[in-house]
Amino acid sequence: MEIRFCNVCLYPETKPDLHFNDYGKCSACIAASQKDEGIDWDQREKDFFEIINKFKLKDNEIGYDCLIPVSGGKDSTYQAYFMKHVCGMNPLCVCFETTKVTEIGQRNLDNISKMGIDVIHFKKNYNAYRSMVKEGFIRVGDEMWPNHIGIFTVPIMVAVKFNVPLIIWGENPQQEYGGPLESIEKNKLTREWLEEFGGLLGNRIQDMVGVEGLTSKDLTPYFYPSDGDLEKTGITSLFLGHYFFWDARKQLEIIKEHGFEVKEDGPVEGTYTNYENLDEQLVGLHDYLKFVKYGFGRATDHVCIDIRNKRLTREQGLELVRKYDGNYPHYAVNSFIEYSGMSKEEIDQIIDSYTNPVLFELNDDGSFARDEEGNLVRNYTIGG
Amino acid sequence: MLKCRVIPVLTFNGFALVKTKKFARNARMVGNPVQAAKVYNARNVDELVFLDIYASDNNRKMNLQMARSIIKECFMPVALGGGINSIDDIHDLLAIGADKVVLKSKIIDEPEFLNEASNVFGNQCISIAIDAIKEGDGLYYLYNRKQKKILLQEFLWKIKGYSFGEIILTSVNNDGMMNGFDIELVKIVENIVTVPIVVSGGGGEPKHFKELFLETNIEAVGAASIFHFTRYTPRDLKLAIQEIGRAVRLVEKDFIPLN
Amino acid sequence: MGNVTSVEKALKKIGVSSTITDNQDEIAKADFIILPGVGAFKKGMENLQTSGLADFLTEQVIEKKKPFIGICLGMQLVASDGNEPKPIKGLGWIDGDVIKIKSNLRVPHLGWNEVISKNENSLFHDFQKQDFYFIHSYHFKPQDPKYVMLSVEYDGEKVAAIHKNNIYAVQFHPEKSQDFGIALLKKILDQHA
Repeated sequence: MEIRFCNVCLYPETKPDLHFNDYGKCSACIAASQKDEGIDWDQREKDFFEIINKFKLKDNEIGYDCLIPVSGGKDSTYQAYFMKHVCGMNPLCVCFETTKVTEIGQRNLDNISKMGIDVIHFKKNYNAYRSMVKEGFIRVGDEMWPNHIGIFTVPIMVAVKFNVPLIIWGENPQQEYGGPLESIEKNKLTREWLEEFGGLLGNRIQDMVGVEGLTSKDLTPYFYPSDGDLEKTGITSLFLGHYFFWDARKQLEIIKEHGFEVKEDGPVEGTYTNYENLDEQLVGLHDYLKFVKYGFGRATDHVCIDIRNKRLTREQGLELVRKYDGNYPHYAVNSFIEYSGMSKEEIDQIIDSYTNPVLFELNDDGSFARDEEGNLVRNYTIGG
Repeated sequence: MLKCRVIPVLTFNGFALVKTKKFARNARMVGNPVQAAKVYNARNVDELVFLDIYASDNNRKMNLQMARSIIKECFMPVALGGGINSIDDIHDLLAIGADKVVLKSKIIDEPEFLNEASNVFGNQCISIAIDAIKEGDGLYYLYNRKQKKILLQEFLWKIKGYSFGEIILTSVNNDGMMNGFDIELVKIVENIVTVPIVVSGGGGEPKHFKELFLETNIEAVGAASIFHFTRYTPRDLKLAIQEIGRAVRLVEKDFIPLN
Repeated sequence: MGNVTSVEKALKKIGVSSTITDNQDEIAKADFIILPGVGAFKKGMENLQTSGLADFLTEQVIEKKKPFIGICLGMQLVASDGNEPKPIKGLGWIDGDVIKIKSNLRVPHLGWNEVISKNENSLFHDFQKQDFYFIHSYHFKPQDPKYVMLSVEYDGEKVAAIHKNNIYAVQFHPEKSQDFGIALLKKILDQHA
């Protein structure tokens, strides 16, 4: 099976929304070049402050002048730090907690309030959410599905209810991970953006009504606020990454000085880094599902970012991908067994149903071939 | 009363789900077809169409393993198309559970194959895909990758005499653009053919579907981009179609707020 | 020929095991016979004749009274007289003609359409007003209307389901009609459990 890879980084053509130019360079790399050369960051910074100054509270006022969705992860921690300590705003942070929070994730979440910021921690209906986690896993091969919705709808719902129109998001994933070029220009996170790029995999919240008896009422926080409410509040969602050069590693160093912890005992499952996706026990499963569907995992994502930021060569990246991409996520699967009540056989069967039979080797009996470590065998060459 | 059908169309490039704009070759990668099938089955959609759009170009057949995994998830009718060239090809697809097959490239040069296929399998299983492109001269032509200039009406009159069950009509100009259907095209075709027609290409929001069903006598519509990239589900479109007085099939169990 | 895989899949969903076969011994051992069908009447009958199944099924169903479900073409073949593409004899279990749908409406009758109950005592009665999936260009007119359990409106009422003793037959595709279709299959099978 011949798969085309980007000439610069290691993204394969199987990645949703990715495309290549005539020179074999992928849209993520093109966006990165624009970051380096094509963008007037001084102007963007000016634009940013011009916008937020319209919302900034005066010294003799109380209230919140911006809202930041946080997860306890490094990006949102940086956003919170930046808005409070650099821009001098008075943010309200809203956390839609992850599915199964890790200890370090919880500490990092607590740390945000220790940075001197109010945080609303939304403790969701455990049963409704769990039903959606299971259904998301079975129906679209993503146990994090309800999380993709919740992290968007809940902060916006709070923004509407608390009347805080300015919402600050982090990087534009389409910019960092390579979406259609038109989407990279989108500086605003709107409902349309969520539906197109939010990772919903074709499923919508309406489709969850009736699952394990769920009613629309049970799913209240997951329905996007109405267009009317958004307009009335004047919701303005900005991607910080559109206005400032996004450098995750640099930002990490800054927040480490403000209490952010990284994983000291080894990389996060599915990749080689120890500072990304720290907060979710199940992230390895989500990433593995991505791998079986498209042939690349989280390690590839991180390698590509490091290649674009000139911290790795393509060859060095290749080695890391070979070592870390696509390894069966034992830790996450065990956590998922505990959380969902499903058996390992059931879980593996579902994973198999999403494994692309064109990308991976099959045995004669139609089952997927595995190596001595129990991992799938690619029938394409990484890197092309 | 026969209900108007809303039919998701899945286009496949050999290993993944993709979406084209104006039938251009650099299709947008959408993702995994099996999960799409599962979502649509959970939604109780009327039917599903699954096409391997580069099969004929690349001289290959539909990947049966993939087709099988998709059909496994579907308890509604499924039409499969892409690279169908022979009676055996059709047999293989029907054998794995397809309800209809969609023919395109083969019938451009060999329309008599339609009669041959209908004789063996019954004309109900034989659908044909007609892609129409409006050129600069304002006329519609049959879109094909064989560099043949075929006037659409001529082709329709010719094909009318052969035996088949349904036409899937797609506007190449409006494909993936989400800016409305080509009503002029639909009117031309529905005045010539007498079999059911599924109209596709350009549906981007509920109002486009209302317009289509108000201004033509069409009974079935196909859509893809709207489901991949926007908030709208087949249910939203059916409610819109119902609003203008056409009958649709709605399987409602619980209350769902307005989208 | 025929959409046997879909029927097998639908049966599996309701926990019924089935075998796809044309082997007479296997058919003789079965509790239930299902004849799905997609295709032309003439070809369908030819296939049954040449394999010897026409007579064998008649023996199983009419003499041995084995429960039988005919789907789409499988229903039409039960008739005494077919016409696709020319006049030809069917299995002859229920007198009547299978004739082409002649209409100003589009043919085949293709899509979801709701059924009308013709007999409030039949097991089909509960399914009235539900939509089932139809795809056919010919329809069956039994000589005796008492066997008609459901009809469907498409340029006049057409027969949608019939029931005579151990013979059940539907013009629509229950295996493709999602929840209600599967429920109907289950209800029929439960009659003879």
